[in-house]
Amino acid sequence: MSGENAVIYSLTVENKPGVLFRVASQFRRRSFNIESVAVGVTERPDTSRMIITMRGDEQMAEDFARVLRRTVDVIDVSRMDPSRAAQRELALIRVKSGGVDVARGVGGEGELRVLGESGEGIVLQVVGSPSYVSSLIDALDRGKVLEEVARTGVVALEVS
Amino acid sequence: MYVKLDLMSGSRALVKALEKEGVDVAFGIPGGAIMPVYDELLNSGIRHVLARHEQSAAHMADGYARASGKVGVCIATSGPGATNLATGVATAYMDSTPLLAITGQVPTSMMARDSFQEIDAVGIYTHMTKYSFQPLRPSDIPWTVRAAFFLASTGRTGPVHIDMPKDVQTGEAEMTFPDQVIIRGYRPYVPPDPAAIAVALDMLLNAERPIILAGGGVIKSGAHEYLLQLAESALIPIATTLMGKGAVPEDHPLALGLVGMHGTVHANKLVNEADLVLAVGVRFSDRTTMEVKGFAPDAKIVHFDVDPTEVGKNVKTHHAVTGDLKSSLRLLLEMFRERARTGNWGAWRRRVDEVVSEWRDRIVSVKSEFSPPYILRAMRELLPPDSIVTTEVGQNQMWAALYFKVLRPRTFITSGGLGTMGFGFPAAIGAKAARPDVPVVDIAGDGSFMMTMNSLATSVNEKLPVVAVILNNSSLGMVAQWQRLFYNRRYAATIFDANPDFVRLAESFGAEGARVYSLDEFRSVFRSAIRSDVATIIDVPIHPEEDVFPFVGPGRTLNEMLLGDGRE
Repeated sequence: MSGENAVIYSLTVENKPGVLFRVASQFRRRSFNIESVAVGVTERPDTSRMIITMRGDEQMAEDFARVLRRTVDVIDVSRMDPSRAAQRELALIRVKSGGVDVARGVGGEGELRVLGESGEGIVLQVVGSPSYVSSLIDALDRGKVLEEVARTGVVALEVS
Repeated sequence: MYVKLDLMSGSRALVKALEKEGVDVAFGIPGGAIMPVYDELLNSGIRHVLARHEQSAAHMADGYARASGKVGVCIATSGPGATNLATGVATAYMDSTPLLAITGQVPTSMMARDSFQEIDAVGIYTHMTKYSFQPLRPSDIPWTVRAAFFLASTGRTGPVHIDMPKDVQTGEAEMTFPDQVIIRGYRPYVPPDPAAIAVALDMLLNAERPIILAGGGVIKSGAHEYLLQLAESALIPIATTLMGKGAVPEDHPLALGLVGMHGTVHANKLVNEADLVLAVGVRFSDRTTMEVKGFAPDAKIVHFDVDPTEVGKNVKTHHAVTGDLKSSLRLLLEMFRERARTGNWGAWRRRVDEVVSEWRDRIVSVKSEFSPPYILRAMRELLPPDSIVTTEVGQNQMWAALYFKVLRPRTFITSGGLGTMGFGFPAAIGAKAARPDVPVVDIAGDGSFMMTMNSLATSVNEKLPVVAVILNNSSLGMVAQWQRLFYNRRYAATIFDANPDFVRLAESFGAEGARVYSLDEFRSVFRSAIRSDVATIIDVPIHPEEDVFPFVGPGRTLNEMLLGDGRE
């Protein structure tokens, strides 16, 4: 894909088996790479929200929104303007000793907690903007204290 | 205290739901995982037509659906039944045929264990249907069937699949049959926007060289009458896609015939010269547009379609009207009449007349007077206007598209999108089940016919007599044509050295067969074949190197037509 911009889709979908498969198939057929996907039930138990991010140009993103909308299990599709959406991601990160100090030195929109420490290393919980989480991981990597990362993918809601 | 429950098995509920939908015929083949449904069919008034291969069962249902406008139903067992059926379902999907495909499945307790004849049917069918259901409780079945018919028959029509685990067929439950279902993510009834239609009309009236391009959506939505009235009121010429064949009577003075790779010279030329293309119910397939950059290069594209994802998918659209075509075109026609003026199209009309009169009746590049175009013209002369013609895929199909003039909607049935060889003969049988009152003819080639010729048994057995006219060049003709044009005449795997004797083959099935060597012989055999009460195969040996022209080569634009091998 060219014209690389961040594209965020917010999908309201049926909460039942096979829905993610149907949605993901549409990306797969076009060789679109999903950067992150976060799925959770909404205020209604029969309805889930999927936040899917990828990169792509404007025309393609708009055309593809129509394809997603046509998917039978998809109730609603909106595209979020990255500049107007609150985006948060959670990461659990295992670091070597010294990693906590490196992490604390990273500025940005987010919070850091130490969850536990063992012979295997120290586990950090990071909640924040995707860029904060990414730059924190980069810093740990550069400092050669990064061991392992698990990220949730982005969840988002429009603020304004 | 007892509460007496009215219990019903899942298979009974399925059949009852089909009856409630008005299903009168289903095409299929039984097997272990679908036996409860078949057993229940014996208690029903629904006619079952036994195919000899599941692919043919799906094509029969497809032919039935296209001929009747109703939802076609086909049934197969699990595993190989489901995979065989899939080619036919994919064919229907590409051409937006409303179909219900029912497959058996191993019991839920055996699923995902690589059980005997188990395949992940939902995994396969999701990609070639509007939706693939797998009810997991018997009580889900009535809702599922209603939902399947709702999906298949509304909006952009298409196939829907229901996978039936065996224990869900045999299990019992109290059933409620809904008249209406709500599917939150599916809203097919979007009314057309009058403002958008007004813009389309302005663009049309301001154009200098308008042309209509009609596709399969016109026929499916029943918009053909409004379209023709518009064309006639405004005197705009109408070209069609392959799927749009029959949207307007092809003997109409405004009808240009097919556009595309094997389009007519006049249609391709005029689309190329137009400054506005009013595209109705088309998807701008690559076989229609050819090289997109050269498709109607001077034209603004105004696109009417029921499916919003078609807008801008293959060509750049300047204006779109999405929603039901019949309502859209009715509104467009009303607005046009209110304006009570046409565009300033005198010069364009003279140009259209000039091109049409030059090319309309010409047959380009044939080897003899017994060439396929003449045979197809003879067929048209002998067939009543409401006769149904199906085609196989390949040269036979393109000759039919070019030279067989279709006079009514739903009387030309062909596999356009998927291009599935073997389609025509079973589709003809299905069409015959829908329209026993009219002659049904499969325009065939030998290669394609051999892919599903075992359907002869179905035709004879079920007393669904159809005629197959095999334009027999003892080869895979279209591939051989490309080898002549692009591969230096190297015939890689396209020549059949050992074709069967189709006459004796037909006779061995209890059908009739004849071989003809002249147009007169053809006429006489064909005349009785279309009145016969048993299937007839007419073997027509043609020149093995007969090519279909006009031809626009791959990567070429519509104005780069070949009219014969060598000269343009």
